[in-house]
Amino acid sequence: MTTLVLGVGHPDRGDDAAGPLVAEALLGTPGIDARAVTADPSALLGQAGWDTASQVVLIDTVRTGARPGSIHYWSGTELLEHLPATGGGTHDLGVATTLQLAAALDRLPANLTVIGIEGVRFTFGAAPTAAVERAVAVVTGALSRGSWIGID
Amino acid sequence: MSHTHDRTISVEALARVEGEGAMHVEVTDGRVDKVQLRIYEPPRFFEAMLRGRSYVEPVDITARICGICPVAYQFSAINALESLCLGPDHQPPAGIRQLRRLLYCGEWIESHVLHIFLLHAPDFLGYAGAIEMAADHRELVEMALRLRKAGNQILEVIGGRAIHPINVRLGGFHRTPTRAELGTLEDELTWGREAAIEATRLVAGFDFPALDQEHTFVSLRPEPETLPPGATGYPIDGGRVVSSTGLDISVEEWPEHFYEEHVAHSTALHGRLRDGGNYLVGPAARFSLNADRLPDDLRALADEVGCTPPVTNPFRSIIVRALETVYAFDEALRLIAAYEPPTVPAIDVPATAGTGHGATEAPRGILYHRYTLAADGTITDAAIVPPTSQNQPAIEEDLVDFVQAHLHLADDDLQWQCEQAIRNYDPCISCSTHFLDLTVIRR
Repeated sequence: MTTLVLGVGHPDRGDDAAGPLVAEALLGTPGIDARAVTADPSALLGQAGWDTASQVVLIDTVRTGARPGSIHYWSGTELLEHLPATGGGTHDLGVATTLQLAAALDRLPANLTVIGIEGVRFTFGAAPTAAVERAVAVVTGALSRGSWIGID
Repeated sequence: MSHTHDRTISVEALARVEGEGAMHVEVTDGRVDKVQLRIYEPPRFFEAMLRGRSYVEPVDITARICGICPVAYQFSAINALESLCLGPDHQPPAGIRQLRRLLYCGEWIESHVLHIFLLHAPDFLGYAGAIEMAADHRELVEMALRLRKAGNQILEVIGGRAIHPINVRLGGFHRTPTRAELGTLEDELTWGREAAIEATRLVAGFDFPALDQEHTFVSLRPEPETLPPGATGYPIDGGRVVSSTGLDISVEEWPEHFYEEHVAHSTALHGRLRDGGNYLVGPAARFSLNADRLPDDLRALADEVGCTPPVTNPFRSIIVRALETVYAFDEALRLIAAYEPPTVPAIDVPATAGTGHGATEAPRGILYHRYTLAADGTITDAAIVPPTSQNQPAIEEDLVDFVQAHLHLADDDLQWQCEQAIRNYDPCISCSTHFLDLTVIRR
């Protein structure tokens, strides 16, 4: 069984790089198909394995007001219950809208885990903060050991 | 000054952090005095970062500016640098030029389909967004996702991956695909072309709010003698700069006719014509200035759906995007059929001192790059003019009229209407759910 790990974010915008950094660190890990999704999140639905992988783990930087570097994890269904009603953006769909769209199309993976890493710095060209770098290492280690996968 | 209403709406936590737009409206005695739109603009940072770097780097670095249109950034950079280093009469071989245009078609498909079906169509069909629309129009949303995937596949086969292609370099590609590899795309592109035609008919049937805005249109327009056999030359990857007021210049002459200025309310520069006034780039401008460059059957389709140049109602830009999507599929199939695999994946591009200019038609309009190089290829100056900064003054001008006509609405409704109006121009703002922080001051 292969777990599809999708790290969402922009590699050049400070803490938003957390998802791609985790995906990069997991490349080559047995049992894990890790990919960085560095642009329009609606591309998640076109990823090979989105509809078929036994487990899908999505990692993204979030802003909830928690301490920077805090790690949140939700099952896909749990997260959907707490997402606000959405409208349209101008340029792409965003992770929240993409997950809701997947649910509306009955294409939400049966076993989806969403890991959020609390970010604080999103300046273009900035490196991730030390707190987020530590969180990236923690999440990478946990996923490589099989933790936090399939909590739904 | 009495401050009778002041409202701010924030983005939610899991939104992507691409920035957001903010709109500030001031009203006195029922008249709109001022509309200011603030749009986050990343290229400023990249211009500074490029100085001191090698001339081979902008192709990869500038692709990072936008996740939706990295190909546009790559090829505007390539056009600028190759025009300087190779000279206007020396170009890479036909196969490389075909692959570049084909890759660009993939990006147009991805970007236009996203905007038409997942961002813009919900406005016309009366839904808050694509999710709500999916419940009633599942087939439409599934079709949109399949169309986008067809565009993605072009980027994967030629660019190496769907997002931020890594196979593009100055002089050509790191590796060029075989005819057989391109052939794997044909079935889905053939389906996509037909699906896009039906989609054009569908969106042309939407109800469009009455709005007529006269702007100077500016777009690229390839010179007929540069077109390969079978090509009609709708602008994508280069051409001269033309306008609805008679401008017809080479890209090298851009700085003599266009400039950008700082405005106090925005980090984005505002593009303006040196002889005065605002201008508009993007699908409406492209189509209005180049409808004759569409193949005959697409011109017939445009006539059938009532889309004729000039397109002055910005809400009808969705029809133009649909037509351009058909063209992108059509052109992709033509390019695959004509593909002549080059003998080398890339030609040598020697460092040359001087200044090079390049422009291409990003999905949302002209993207201009300029680089000045030292003799060893070190970049001493860089300028990047994205379509959104060019359009911003015209968008603000349009919004004055639009807000004036909708002042009777409550702020929530006004925000929603303004978001829809702004969406007509497909600006690079944000991907957050409610992208607009609206402040209305009524005196």
